[in-house]
Amino acid sequence: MTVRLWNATAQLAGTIRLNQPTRLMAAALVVMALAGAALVACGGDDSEDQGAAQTTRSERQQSQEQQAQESSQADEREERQSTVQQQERSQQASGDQSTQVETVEVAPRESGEFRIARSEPINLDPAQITDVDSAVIAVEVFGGLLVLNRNLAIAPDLAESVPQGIANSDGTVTYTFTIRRNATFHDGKRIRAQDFKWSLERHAHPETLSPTAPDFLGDIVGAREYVRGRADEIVGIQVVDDLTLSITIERATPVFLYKMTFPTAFVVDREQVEDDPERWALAPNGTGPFRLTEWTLGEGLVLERFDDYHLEPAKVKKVSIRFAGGSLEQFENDEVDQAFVGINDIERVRDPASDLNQYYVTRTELSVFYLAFNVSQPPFDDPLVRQALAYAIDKTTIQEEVLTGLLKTAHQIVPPGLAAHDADYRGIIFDPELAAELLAQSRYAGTPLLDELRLTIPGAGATPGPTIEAIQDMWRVHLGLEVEIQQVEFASFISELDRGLYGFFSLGWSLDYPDPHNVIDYKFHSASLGNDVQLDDADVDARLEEARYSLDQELRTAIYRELDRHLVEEAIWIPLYYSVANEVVKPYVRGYEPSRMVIPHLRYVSIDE
Amino acid sequence: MSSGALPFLTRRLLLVPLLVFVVMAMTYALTHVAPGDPVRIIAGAREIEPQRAQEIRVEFGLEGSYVQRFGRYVWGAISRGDLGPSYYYRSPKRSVQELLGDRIWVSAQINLIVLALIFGLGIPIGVYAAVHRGRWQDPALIGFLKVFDSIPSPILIVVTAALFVDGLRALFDWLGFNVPNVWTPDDPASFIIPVVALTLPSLGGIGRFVRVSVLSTIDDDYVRTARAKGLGDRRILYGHVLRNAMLPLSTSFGLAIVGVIGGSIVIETRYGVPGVGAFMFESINQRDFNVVLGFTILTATLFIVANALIDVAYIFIDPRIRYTERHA
Repeated sequence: MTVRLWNATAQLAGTIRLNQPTRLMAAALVVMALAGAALVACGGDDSEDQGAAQTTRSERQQSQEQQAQESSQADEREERQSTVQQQERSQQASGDQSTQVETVEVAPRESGEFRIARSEPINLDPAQITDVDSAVIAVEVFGGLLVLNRNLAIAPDLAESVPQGIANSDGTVTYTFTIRRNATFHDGKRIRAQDFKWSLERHAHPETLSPTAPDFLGDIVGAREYVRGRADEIVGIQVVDDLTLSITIERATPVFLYKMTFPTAFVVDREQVEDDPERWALAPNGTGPFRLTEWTLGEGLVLERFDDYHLEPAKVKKVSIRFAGGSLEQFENDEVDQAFVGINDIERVRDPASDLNQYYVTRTELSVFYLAFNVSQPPFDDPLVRQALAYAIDKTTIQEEVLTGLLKTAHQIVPPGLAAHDADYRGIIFDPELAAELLAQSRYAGTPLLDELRLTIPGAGATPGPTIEAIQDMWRVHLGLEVEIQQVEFASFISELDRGLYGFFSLGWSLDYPDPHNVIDYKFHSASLGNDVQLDDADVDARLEEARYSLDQELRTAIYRELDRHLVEEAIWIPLYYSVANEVVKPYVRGYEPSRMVIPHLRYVSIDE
Repeated sequence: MSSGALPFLTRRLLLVPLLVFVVMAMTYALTHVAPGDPVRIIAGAREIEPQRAQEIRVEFGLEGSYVQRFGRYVWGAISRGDLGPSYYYRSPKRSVQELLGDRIWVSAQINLIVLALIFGLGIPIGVYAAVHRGRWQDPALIGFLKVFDSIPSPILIVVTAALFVDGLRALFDWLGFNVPNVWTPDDPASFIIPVVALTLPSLGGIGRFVRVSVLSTIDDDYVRTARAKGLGDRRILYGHVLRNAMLPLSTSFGLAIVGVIGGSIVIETRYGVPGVGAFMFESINQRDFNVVLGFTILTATLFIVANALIDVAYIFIDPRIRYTERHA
């Protein structure tokens, strides 16, 4: 899944927070207001200023709305930039944080209830999910044959076990899944192999318009033809008997079983979907550990425990999820039991003297943010230009002064947590002299092309954000290059990126499954739809295919490591940072841990009453 | 009633659907030349094949010429009150009216309270200032209120929150409730901060408007006549001055009523209010064209209708107004 520059949790940071400086500001403004009144009063001005008196509320509101887009974004950015100052401030402020925690409980927690804040899901139909906000809810309500467990290993969900692939003589591989006897939908209906065949074919059907099916089901024999409407069924999916399903894929690949854990492979209730094709996902009849029982637009939703869940049922009776509001405030008011910490609050939460600090948990996520080049576009087709730009970036300074440890510096593409990640590898290390030298050697040295470099980033803010600004400054200082930053709204950005319009851009990528294939292959294979750097390197393709179809994990790890280094050292990507989950969790919550990627994890949670 | 009034009424009201149609056509055209392909919103960040992209366009009624698409849109809006599907919230499928409904209601509740406060407090403030013209109370009061008008709303909301959540905590504790520093569903105290932050900046404006209005009537002949007749100050003020001074205010009131269905983007996003202002901000960012389009058309239509009603209402409010061609 592609992610925007700042992770989803940072969005929650925009709401108000009270600390010492705000209080001082409030006091100052009240004093100013009084002083202003006094001044005007003393002046005794009797003018009637007719024109200005015409302000009506609706006029005011219109102008507010026009300005708001800019100003609220600007605020957000400013606040991000001020993280460094906040570090100092938070030390003073921490003294009186304690008063904030002792507030009256507004919404008392029911027994066995776990209360959290998340963003509103956009789509709950498993075939339509492309974003994290939707996926975190869907994985709790639905399920597939397989699932990623908390160690991110493939585990059986509705299947009894993880099957071994059997190679056929024509090179195809067949997996035979046995469905658990006790597996039912939430309404009690037994799950049969037919349900899976129908569901997967429904997800892949051209009319379903699933954006993910071609990719995630595409390995199955006949799926590509079916997705294009050229077949009546996916021949690779066969019902052997009520509880046995066989899936045949075109060619052995270790990635296939990972793909079977993605929502596109989840089972849905045929009757329900056919009954109400457009609105069934309002209260889906799923198979997951929780039933979606209430959904109030813009406010929240309620997940209730599914008592007959085929695995160990959830420990909590219900999970209340709230969409509105800034969750850290709600956490402090005891309105939620877990919350994300945005960039505005991170220093406060990290401060050992803060009351919040004891609740703080953190984990690196499987997503990477990077700068990337379209290697087919001059001057970025010259590796020296790309390397010069890469060597001029001082990641240590960015980490210390801009990110202040909120995110983890990335030196390679594959994030930590995967075998192919090499914790000791440092990639391109900041070297301003070398950077200048490389630039001078480049075949574009002295040409006007270097004077009009432009970095395109998704966004609509008043400023491109502190990290990009810091990097822009480094290029100015170390290379004498004035790189223009162009912000493009996200949807347009992605669409123009597809068309290869950007030479130099920045983006984030959050892994769909814990395998380097999902980033190295997806983003760099010449035939991949995700290859937005327009790389067309036969050697890279050959190595990628070798890893794609090899069942030897050590070999695959070695290939991905080697390719990762190659891509970083050729400066096709400049990895900047990995996102980090920063959360606070109440001490009476047991068994909750931030996840590195989207997996069902709410059923492990219990509450000490 | 003069004979010219009816033709005027007819003409004025006939203009309404025409204006609404023009606004619809223009807004529709604008959202369709804005950057961002709806197919991208539907596909998310994932790459999709061109053929599938075309199928998505068909599914969401985006195929055909501008006139065809607009025709379908207008017909849906008029015949079924259907403003089309959201491009963003698709499964379950959400219509624009469904997405806007609850959010408009949240914003409207806030705005109605604000409106009541602005007029309920603004009118007495204006009258008080007018009556105290030339003395210190007048500029002090209006000046004090103008300060709030000058504070940008992102700051005002933070200050208001600081004041109410923290500064007045003892007071609210004593009253037995707690003002949350972020919107909390089902907690009526959540209304306090957005209402205060929206009321304060407008009080000065309405106060001054009323003050000017009162001052301009206070020296009129009929007031002098009334005074000459020996009527008391209070009776003159309420019986003669105010009734006339309030006339111009009915225009602002009419237009302000339309503003009730809108929401302040700044206040709502900063305080986490699930209102229509914050939602429009999101929808614009997400290029959820149908939502933006639907809300714009809804607001514009209300505005046009309200304007027409105000014009018509004048005939009844102010007997001196006659829309006749005889005098023209």
